[in-house]
Amino acid sequence: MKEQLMKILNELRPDVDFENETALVTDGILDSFDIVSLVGEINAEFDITVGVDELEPENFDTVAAMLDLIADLAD
Amino acid sequence: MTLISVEFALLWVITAILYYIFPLKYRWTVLLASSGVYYFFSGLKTGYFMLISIAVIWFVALVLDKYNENHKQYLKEHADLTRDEKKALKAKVQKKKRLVLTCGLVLCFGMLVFLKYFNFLSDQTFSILRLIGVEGKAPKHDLAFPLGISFYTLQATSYIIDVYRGKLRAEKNVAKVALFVSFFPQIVQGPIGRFGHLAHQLYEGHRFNFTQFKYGLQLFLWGLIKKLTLAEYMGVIANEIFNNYTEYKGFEILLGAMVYGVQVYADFSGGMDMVRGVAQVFGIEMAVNFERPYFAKSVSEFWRRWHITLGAWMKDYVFYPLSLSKAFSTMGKKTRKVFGAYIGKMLPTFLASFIAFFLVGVWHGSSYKYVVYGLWNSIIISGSILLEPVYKKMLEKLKINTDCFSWQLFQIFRTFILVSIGRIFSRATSLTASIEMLKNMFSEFNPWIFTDGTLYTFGLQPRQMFMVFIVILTLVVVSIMQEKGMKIRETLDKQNMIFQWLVVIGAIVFVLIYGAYGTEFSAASFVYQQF
Amino acid sequence: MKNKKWLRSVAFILLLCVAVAGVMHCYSQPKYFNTRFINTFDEMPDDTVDGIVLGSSVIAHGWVSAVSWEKYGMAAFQFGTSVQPIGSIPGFIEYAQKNHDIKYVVIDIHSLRQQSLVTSVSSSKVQEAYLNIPDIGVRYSMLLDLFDYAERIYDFYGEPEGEKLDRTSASMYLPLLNFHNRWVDGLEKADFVAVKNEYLGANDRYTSFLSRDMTANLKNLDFGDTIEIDDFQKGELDRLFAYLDESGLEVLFISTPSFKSKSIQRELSSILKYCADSGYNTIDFATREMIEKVGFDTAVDFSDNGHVNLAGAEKLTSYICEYLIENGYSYTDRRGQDGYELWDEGLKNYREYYKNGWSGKSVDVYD
Repeated sequence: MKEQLMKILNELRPDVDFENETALVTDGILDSFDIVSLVGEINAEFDITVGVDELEPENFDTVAAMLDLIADLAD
Repeated sequence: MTLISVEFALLWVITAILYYIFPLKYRWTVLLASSGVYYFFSGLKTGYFMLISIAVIWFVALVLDKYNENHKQYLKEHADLTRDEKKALKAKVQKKKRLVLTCGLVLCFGMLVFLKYFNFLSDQTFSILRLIGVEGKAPKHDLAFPLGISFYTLQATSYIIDVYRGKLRAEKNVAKVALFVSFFPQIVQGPIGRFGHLAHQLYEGHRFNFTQFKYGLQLFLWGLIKKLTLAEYMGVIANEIFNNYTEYKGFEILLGAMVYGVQVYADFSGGMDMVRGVAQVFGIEMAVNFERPYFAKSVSEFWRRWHITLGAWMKDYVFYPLSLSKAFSTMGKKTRKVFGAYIGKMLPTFLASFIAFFLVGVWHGSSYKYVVYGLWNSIIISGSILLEPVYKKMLEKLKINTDCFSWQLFQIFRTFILVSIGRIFSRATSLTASIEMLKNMFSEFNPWIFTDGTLYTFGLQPRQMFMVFIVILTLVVVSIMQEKGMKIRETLDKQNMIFQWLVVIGAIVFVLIYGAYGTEFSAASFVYQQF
Repeated sequence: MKNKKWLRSVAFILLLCVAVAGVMHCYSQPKYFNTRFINTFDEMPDDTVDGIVLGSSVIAHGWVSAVSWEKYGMAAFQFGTSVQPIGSIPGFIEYAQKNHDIKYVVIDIHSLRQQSLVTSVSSSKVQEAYLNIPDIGVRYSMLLDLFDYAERIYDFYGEPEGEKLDRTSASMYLPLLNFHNRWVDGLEKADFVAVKNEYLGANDRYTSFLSRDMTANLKNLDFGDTIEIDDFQKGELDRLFAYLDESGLEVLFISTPSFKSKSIQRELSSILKYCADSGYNTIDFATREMIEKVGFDTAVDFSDNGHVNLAGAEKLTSYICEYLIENGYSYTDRRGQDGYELWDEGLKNYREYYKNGWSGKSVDVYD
């Protein structure tokens, strides 16, 4: 699952070091357009529906958090 | 009651004294009472609109909260439900919640739309009707504008939406809800607070903290400096150019736009600092609304640094819900087929951004120029994303280094120009005026106006220009320090006492001597006050 | 630990108060044209001045203390201010009486003209009156008098369209609000320190040596009969008369020579006639006979149709002094007495100034 996510992220923003960043949303590295694109890709890739309620910075600040979110919604 | 007035100072002092005398548990009532007093002296006649909003959101939140809690309870008691059953139940509850939320939003926004936009819409409708031959007089109301309605409506509705989303528990005490909506420092021009961040600070009594108290006063002073020694003076030049725009051409128009940009920043962020300072004296930290916006390297970034709480509100309650909605995803699939993967995917997002900025524009006022103002920003942001691959190729071909400082400086400068042009729409006296100003801006090439003495013909004298220049320089230096992460007041606190005293007393004396107050200036008013 | 913090806060607040008071003091020095005159008066040793001359700018231009001193040893000083509101008269008298045994007062009635009344209580004219009073107590009591006077004017004539005198406005009580913008035009000594006039309060502006031919306007003095002044003017004059009677001062009302329109000249004469009919001594200089009697040269002695220049002022002052002496006002020839060294010095400076001004040499004058 992580590889699929990393592929999406790197394609979206090749300039960002996703492995090491810990505040992707809080620090404004990913802007709202990025988030929307990302969510669209994640929804398609993992067959889930990330809703507005899940758009908390905590859920997208690190790759780990994103993976947790996907896992939560996939069940 | 304007922020810079004897009455407000008196209210602030008395509130502070009472706040720290009252027992911790009841300190919030002092804040509520002060807010009532403030509203009474500012616009009692229209106070009942706010009361209606308070009543509505208090009730709606309680109902939504009940649904949430019942739903949770039910799930707990019936842990053996299948996934499909859970989904069906959720859908049923959502439907009921949605109905309640919609009623609340319609009531709150209805009041705002009616009071603020009805006359304008009525006029426009009847103009159109007249075109097709239908005669008649446009009905209008002459109800006065409730103070701060544009701000508190957004703040109040964010509360019920957050309860709807299950992020918050509802507040049972209607007086406490009233305090959240009417807290007096934020009424006139925000910031648009969130219940999750602001409410508990309002309700829990704070112990007197000398450092916080001192910081609050210093922040207030800093805001006062920006307002009185910068904004007002810039306003003299901006007013001259914008109110007599037919007389100015070329760089003079651009100058007017840039000066207005400085004016509205100093005015608005200065006002914000004063408001945050007022609240900090009570130990309450209000949301930051500005983060050195003119250091932004793109218009997109600018809107994350300018009027942050409005942008955040639009993002959380308009942009995300729209762009992540089913309707928009379906649209996305369709546009992908027609326009290809890259553009097609982005189009619904562009539309959502468009709508959000349209609302930002419209929120500023019922005039077409504001609509264009909002859309100008949206077009630039969406456009730059759309053209990103093209732009990247161009930079590669021209072998431009994008990692260096000079490139960043260029980006900052470019953003400032783009934003300033947008300002022409928001400040010009009408849409036609703004279009004409833009035309005039390109009608002549006259960069010499910066050196031939024209600068002294807009109403400011040389000494005043010089003083303003010093203040701008100080502001830039402080902003750079803040951008690097330095906390100004804390750094000041670490210096020798005499130095601290000299700085603060010096600042106060500076405002006393150079501030734009007294018989030559009318009472300091805020640009955003009529919202 | 806690006590130290509170102590430091108190010390800080005290220092802040000192700084703010310093700023306010620096920016409370008035700088109107008559500030210099009143500062000269303020420097006079106690109990040296015998009489004062009050009125609008016609007095500021028209009275030369150096001449009253030179010819008669008469120690009389003028407090003329632009369109001086009549309601300020008690205040000026009070101020003068603080340190001097004032025996007589000469009052010009130009500011009682109906058209001048509302102007006389505009904030700038009011400020020229009260803000210049060096004594704080008298200053603010004059201000309160002027607020009342303004109310009476507005009650009778209606409120002005533009700005009206506002007793709740902070700028009336805190000069800082008016003066702190001075830095824009550059600061000079007069902004911070009381600068005085070296010529015993004689007009030190360029109009001192300006001549405009008024011969053609003499016909405006042929206005026919006087008329009845309106109830407001009567009421204010009665009020003033009551005050003067109680004060025990010897009074002379005058109307300095002017050549405005016939209706204005008629009104001025009528006002003065009311004073005369009420039993006071009056001199109406704005008549053909008086112009001749005093010996004014209409081609040379006037700077405009309302003001004399210094040449005309010397004649005017001489005539008034002689009138006062001949009519038994309490006058003492003070020449040679102790305490009048400043008068001798001022006279010397004035003569030099007068000679240079008229002979075309450059003199230091204000605008």
